Amino acid sequence: MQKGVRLYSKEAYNTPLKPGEKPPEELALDNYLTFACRHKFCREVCPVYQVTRNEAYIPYGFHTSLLALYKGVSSFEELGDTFTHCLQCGACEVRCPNTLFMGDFYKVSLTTVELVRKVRSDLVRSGVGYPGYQEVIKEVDFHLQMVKKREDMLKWTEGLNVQVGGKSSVVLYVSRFTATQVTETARAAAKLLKKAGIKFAVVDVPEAGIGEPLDVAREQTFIDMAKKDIEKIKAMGAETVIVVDPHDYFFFVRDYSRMFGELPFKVVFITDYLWQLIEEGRLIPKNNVSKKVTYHDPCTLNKLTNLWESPRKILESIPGVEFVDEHHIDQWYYCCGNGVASFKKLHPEISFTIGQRRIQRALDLGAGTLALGCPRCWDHFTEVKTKARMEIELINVVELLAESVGV
Amino acid sequence: MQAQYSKVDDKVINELAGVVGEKNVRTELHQRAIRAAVPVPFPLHKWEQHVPDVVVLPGSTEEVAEVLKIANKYRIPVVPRAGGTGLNDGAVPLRKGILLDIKRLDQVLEIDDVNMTVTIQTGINNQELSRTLKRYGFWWPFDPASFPVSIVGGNIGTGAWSLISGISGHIPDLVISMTVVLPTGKIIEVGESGARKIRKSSTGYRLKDLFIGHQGTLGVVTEATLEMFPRPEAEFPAFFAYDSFEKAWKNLGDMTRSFLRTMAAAVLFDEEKIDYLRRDDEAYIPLPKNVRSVIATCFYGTEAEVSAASKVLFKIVKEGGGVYLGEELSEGDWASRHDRYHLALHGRSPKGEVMPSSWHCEDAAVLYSELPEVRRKWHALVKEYREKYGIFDDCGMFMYNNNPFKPWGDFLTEIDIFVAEMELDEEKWRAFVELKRKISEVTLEHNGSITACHGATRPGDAELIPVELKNGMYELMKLIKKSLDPNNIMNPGKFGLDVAYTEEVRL
Repeated sequence: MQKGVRLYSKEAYNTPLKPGEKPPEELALDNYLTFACRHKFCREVCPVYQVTRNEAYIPYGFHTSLLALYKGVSSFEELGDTFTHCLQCGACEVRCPNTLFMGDFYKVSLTTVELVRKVRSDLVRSGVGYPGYQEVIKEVDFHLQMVKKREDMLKWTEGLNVQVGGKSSVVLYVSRFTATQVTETARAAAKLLKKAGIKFAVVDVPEAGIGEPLDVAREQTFIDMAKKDIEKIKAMGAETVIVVDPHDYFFFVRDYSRMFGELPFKVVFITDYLWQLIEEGRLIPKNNVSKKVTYHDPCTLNKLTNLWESPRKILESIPGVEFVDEHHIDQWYYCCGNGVASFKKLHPEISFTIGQRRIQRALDLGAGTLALGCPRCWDHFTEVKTKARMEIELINVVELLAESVGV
Repeated sequence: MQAQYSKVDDKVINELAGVVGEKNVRTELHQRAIRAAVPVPFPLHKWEQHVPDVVVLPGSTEEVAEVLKIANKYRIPVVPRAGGTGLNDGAVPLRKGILLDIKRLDQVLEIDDVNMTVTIQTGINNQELSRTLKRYGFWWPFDPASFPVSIVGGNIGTGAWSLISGISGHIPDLVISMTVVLPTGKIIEVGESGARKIRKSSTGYRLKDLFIGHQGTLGVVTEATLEMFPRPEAEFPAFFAYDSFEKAWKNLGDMTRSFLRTMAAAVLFDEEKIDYLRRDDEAYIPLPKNVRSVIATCFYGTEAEVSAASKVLFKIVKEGGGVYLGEELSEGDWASRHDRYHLALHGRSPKGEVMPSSWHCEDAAVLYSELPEVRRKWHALVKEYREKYGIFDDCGMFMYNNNPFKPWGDFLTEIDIFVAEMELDEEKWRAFVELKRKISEVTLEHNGSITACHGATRPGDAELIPVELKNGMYELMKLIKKSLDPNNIMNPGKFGLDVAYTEEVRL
């Protein structure tokens, strides 16, 4: 691993686990802090547990399995199935009393997402592997090939007349998934910025945009992609980077800043930026959108980066929208089912059930529209609703706003 | 002679898989090891001895019955586990065998909004049940400290306790009837009567109580019909400060005997508890130096009732020298009562250093009159062991109303002790068990009961059961155990009941 890059927030996670070797004592102490609690607030909040009801698949299970490894009552080779059962949604991290109460005073918090990445990667690195990891590697390779296709990556900008690359103090960051799969969201974002008179350029072209490399011991790939994007943005002279995909927002805010230190530009999520434009009167939602709408908090915003206010404010500002809100803390229990990185590939059935339950909850509220903040939620929900034959409209908050603003 | 149990071999595993499906039979070592412990100090140095042979996750009452038939046929121990959040060893396997994890039984089966009952599968979590009922405008009036995490089946198995018992009682008062799978695999219905929803009956023996607090030694409760309440119009938490424990204790007596029918909870924090809360940021009650003890109360009912009760309460508090801590603190603290659970770094070594710890929560039932003496003796015992072994820390005591619907008389008396679990070896483990036993002996000296709700299932408690249940009660337990569970497969070793199979029972 590249020197000077802080892959994990806890030093103890850096020692790779191997078959037949006792984990380091430092790691055992971290594991112990979760075992010692064993009250399992992390369990009830976990969307995977809610479907499987298996308490191995929660931080208590993860940490206790590793503590057991240290104490000689668990086997590294058997851990694969357990460590695949995590969405990396971060619900447990925010719900954990360790994070809630010990975070400030003792500087200790629950870091499940990092632990899961670490153990999955250690399993791959050591040759043990886990069920489905080859599929994840294929996804990484597919991504690496896709980002080389400049034309495809920029196709979403067709007819928008936006600046690509070059100098600009405001940069719009649209990575591969949104750029190629959910182009409407990216286009709506660009149109709204233009409407408000914001001068911006899009990155030519982003390479990062997936978390999967961290699940299959390809950490260096993740680091290289991130570094290249950061360099590109820096070279554009950016002061502000507006991010459309909340997964990217999570990578920038949490991973890149931990790995490389403070970033040389401000990273803002699209709905925060748009809400500010509405407040300043530069965007006016004027067209009536008569819909009964509830909002689904993406995990990468609500749980992993504590961002939940601006999408709600935007929805409330749209004339005609009857907004039935579910509190963002209640939504710690939810997920679309896709997960932040590899989960859907590893457990498509659980992924489907989680999504189905979430849509049902929206229907129970009487909503005809489920507003989203994340292109990946849109993608997954679309699949679920089709398979499950559920009648609900799925639309990104950004697109709803575009409709009301009239762009 | 101890019962001879069979090994869980491939044949048994295959039979189990035939019942619950392959993915619901878990044999991986870690899947078994994580289900060996509950949140009380655990002998990490001999973890292996408690690791079950196999974990089974059934999905229906019928599957539970088939699993028990297999276990009974081959004589394999079965330990039921629900939330695994109990504060005694009920769910800790003592003889390995099958760990029966009931969490997949998590459905609400019926809400009867006319007769005010809810019927559930017992693997459902309390908060989840509460959320479901709230959607329909009703209330699950059960409030253990573990409310967000514990599971109803475990609450039934341990005979769990509720913080708001002044208005709605405890688990025995909230369960109307149950579906029980007996150790032989026979499925029976047990209730207050033979009717699923009747609350008071004299038709037969009161057998319902046999399957509440049995700690999984008599079978597995898979479904239950429970009380459901209307949502109360008013919730009124009020916290009061005192300059000494004695003043708070006297006032606790006056307020709990005042016959305020809306008084749900009355909790006393002793001086050591206040010192502990002051220790770091966790001191959620802003506490000037003259505050040495606190009483937390909470009232539920109609606005009219609660408003009238508050006037009487404030008068009693004023006469007793208490000071109201204000609306913001009272409401905030009450609202966050379930979130403050054990934190591993709150323990301090005798040198004052942070000591990563587990937590022992004593839960004796003690008469009001005996509280000061019990308190004095308990703190002295912990001090002695702390000085001698350096792995214990005293973080004070709580005293809660324990008598259902009548907040006077006896109190759930809790001393919280941190134990540096990672440092345990056999000598220190024995010291812990000895301390635990001595604490319970004090309870018995003062005509109390050694456990109000967690269950007497761990060393340090279990050996005192015959002392507390003298004069025939323990003998009767042995007879019941032996007749319902002829092969001693259900949670063997708990309550020390193995003797029922090795000695002649004389009543």
